[in-house]
Amino acid sequence: MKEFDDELMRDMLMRSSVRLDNQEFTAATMKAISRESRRRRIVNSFMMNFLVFIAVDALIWLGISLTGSGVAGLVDGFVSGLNRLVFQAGQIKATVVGSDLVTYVVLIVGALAALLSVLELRIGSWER
Amino acid sequence: MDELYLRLVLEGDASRFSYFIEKYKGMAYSIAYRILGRREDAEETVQDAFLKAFRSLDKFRGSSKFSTWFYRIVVNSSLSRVRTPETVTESLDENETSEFIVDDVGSAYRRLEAVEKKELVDRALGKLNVEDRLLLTLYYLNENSIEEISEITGMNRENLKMKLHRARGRMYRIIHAELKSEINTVLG
Repeated sequence: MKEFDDELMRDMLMRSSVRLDNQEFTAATMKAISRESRRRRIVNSFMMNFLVFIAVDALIWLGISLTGSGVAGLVDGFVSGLNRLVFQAGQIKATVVGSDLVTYVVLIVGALAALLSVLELRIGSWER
Repeated sequence: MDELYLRLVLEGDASRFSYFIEKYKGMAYSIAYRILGRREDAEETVQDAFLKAFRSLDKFRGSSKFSTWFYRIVVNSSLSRVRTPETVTESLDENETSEFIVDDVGSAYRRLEAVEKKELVDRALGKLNVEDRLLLTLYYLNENSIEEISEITGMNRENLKMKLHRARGRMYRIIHAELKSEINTVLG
């Protein structure tokens, strides 16, 4: 089969090479990369805080069950949980610029967690 | 140098990723353009490929060069974006070339003006199928080795050598046919 030699093929391909003319390409791509990086930081931060919150809450309930510390323990649990949420919300505020779906999801879950903490407190007082 | 920036990005400094964009956007664009054939599509695909690379940077083990790993993402992203089935290369019988009045295609090509050469090659590449264009671009324009192209495309080396050989042959026959057609036009 007839074919061109390597030198001629290279010359041909070089001649027909295309250039990326868009001067904004790097900036536009970096914008998308930054958004992705921020989203990842939020998710990681949320997961960490949420896990800590759950763990602290579980430990306090365990403490109440074991020691029978009653209302005082319950209030401690609520305050501790609330502290975690405030800390979490502060971090979200610090890392998010503008509106983001993840932020809303995080805040809604956080609000639900706070509501659950209040309900826990109510149930605790009813039981008492 | 790639390793250094890779480490910085993995340590959390996302702004350092611009180094990879600046370094590889040109070639990535050439690859995507050869597969897709449209500038806008190629640009979007390369941007998507950079984003995919950033997302899975922690999965890059460094067993191959960053460029090889990244071009593989570009090729896969481009191929998945090709909407229509690839156009079949026009039928070119190997014996067909013996009838042509252009007896030395290489010499005839060399005698052309620079603009004519570019137009001719563009037309010829446009008539090749996606795979041929991709392999020729990686091998001759990007100067990737057979091993690297094998990693980028996922083809085995022997198969790759054969495909490259056939792509060169098809390119020869298309250019031959184009030159013949031009000469016939000039001669009336």
